[in-house]
Amino acid sequence: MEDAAIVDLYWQRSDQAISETDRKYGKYCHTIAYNICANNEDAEECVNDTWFSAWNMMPDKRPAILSTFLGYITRNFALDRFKAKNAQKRGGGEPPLALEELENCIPSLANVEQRYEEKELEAAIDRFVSTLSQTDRRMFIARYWFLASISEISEKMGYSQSKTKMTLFRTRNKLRMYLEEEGLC
Amino acid sequence: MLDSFALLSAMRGIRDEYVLDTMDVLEYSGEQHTPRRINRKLFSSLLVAAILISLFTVTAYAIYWSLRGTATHSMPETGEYTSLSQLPKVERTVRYPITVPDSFSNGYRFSQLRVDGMADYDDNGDMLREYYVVNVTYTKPNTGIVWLNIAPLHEASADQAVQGADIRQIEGIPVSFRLDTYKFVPDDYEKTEEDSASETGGRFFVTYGADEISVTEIAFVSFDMNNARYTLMVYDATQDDLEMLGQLASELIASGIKHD
Repeated sequence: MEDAAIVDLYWQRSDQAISETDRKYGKYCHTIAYNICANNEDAEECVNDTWFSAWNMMPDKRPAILSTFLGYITRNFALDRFKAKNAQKRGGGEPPLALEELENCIPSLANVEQRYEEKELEAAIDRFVSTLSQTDRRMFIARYWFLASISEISEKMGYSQSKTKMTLFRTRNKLRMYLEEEGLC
Repeated sequence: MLDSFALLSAMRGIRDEYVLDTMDVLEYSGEQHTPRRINRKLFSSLLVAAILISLFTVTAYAIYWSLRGTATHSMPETGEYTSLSQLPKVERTVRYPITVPDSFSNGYRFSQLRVDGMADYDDNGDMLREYYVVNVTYTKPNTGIVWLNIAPLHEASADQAVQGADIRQIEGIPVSFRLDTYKFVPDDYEKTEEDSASETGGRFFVTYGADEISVTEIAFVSFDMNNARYTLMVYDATQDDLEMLGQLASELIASGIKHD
C-alpha cells in the first residue's frame, strides 16, 4: 500500500492503519530498535510504542515521508529505553560503542559553562553531513543514525572492516573540528 | 554541556533524503510477510479511541437530528502528560474543571493523561463545534487498564441525561452502568442474521475496520459532574469490572464534589 493511503487510514481512524504500517515498516523499525536495544523484547516494545505514537500523532500530522517519520519515533523510543537501562547497568548493543566513538567528537573546549541549543546542534549535524562525500555520509549515517555495527556496514557497503573504521575515524575528526568552528560545545 | 549521548540523539537532525538513501544501502526497507503480533495494550488503545468516538456519535444521534458525526479534530494544544502536576495547565487548555485523582482506593494509579481535539459535524459535513476532551489511563499491576474519558457538556448534551437500563444514584448524581458486547470485524464483513438479531437488544455492536473478527465485552460507567461527562471504561470486562467501575465513579464523584 502507498504511504499516502496508509496515512489516510490513520486520519480515518481505521486500525487497518496499524496493520498496514506494520506490514510495510515493521521490519525496518524493528531493525532500528534492535540495533539500539540489542534485545528482541525491547525492540518489539519500541515498535509497538511507535505505532501507538503514530496513531496519536495522526491526525494532526500528515508526514511527507512515512518511513523516516516512523524511524525517528522508533529511534527516540529505543534511545530512551537504552538510556533508562543504561542508568542501572551498562547496556549491550551498538550504542555503548558508538557513544565511546563519539566521545572523541566533543570539542576539547566543552565545559559546564558552555551551552548549546538542541535544535542548533541538530541543524549543524545536518549541515556537516551534507559536506561529506556520498560514501562517507552513508557510513556515518549507518553508524550513528541507524546504529548499525561495523561488520554490517562493511558487508552492505562492500568494504573491509578496517577501511570502514578508518573512514569513520576520519569523519569523526572532521565532525569535532566542525563543531568547534560552529562554537557548539 | 555537550556529551556523546546528546550528539547521538542530535543525529535526528539529518535530513530525510540522506536517511532514506542510507536505509536503502543497508537494505532495511522491504515488507515483512509475517505480521507482527500487535500487543494488547496497543490494540486496546486503538479500540477504546474508536469506541469513545462512537459513543459520542450514537448518543448525540438519538437526541439531536442535526448532529451527524463526531470525530477527532486538529486543535492547537493537544498533548500527553505523565504527571498530574500539569493539571492546572490542562484545565486552562480545555477550559472546564476536571477531576482526575492520583489513585483510587482499590490500587489503580494514574498513568497518563492525553488532551485530544474533537469536533461535531452536521449532515452537510459542516463543523458545529470543536472542543477538547481528556483521556486518562489508570493502571494496576497484573490487571487491565481503566480508561477515563472526560468531555464538556455543551448545548447539545447539557440536558441529555446519561442513558442506559441500569441507572443508579450516587451522591444524588445519576450514574449509568453498561456492559456491552462489541464484535470487531473487517470492512468486508457481512452481518449474519444472528448479528442483526443481537443488535436489536441495544447491547451488541458490530464495529468495522478490524483485521480479523473478535468479540469482547466492554464495561462503561458514565455520569455528568461539573459541566462535564465522565466515562469510565474497561476492556475485556466482566460484571465484576462493572461493579469496580461503580466504586471508582463513587470516588470520582466524592472528589468532584470537594473540587466544586
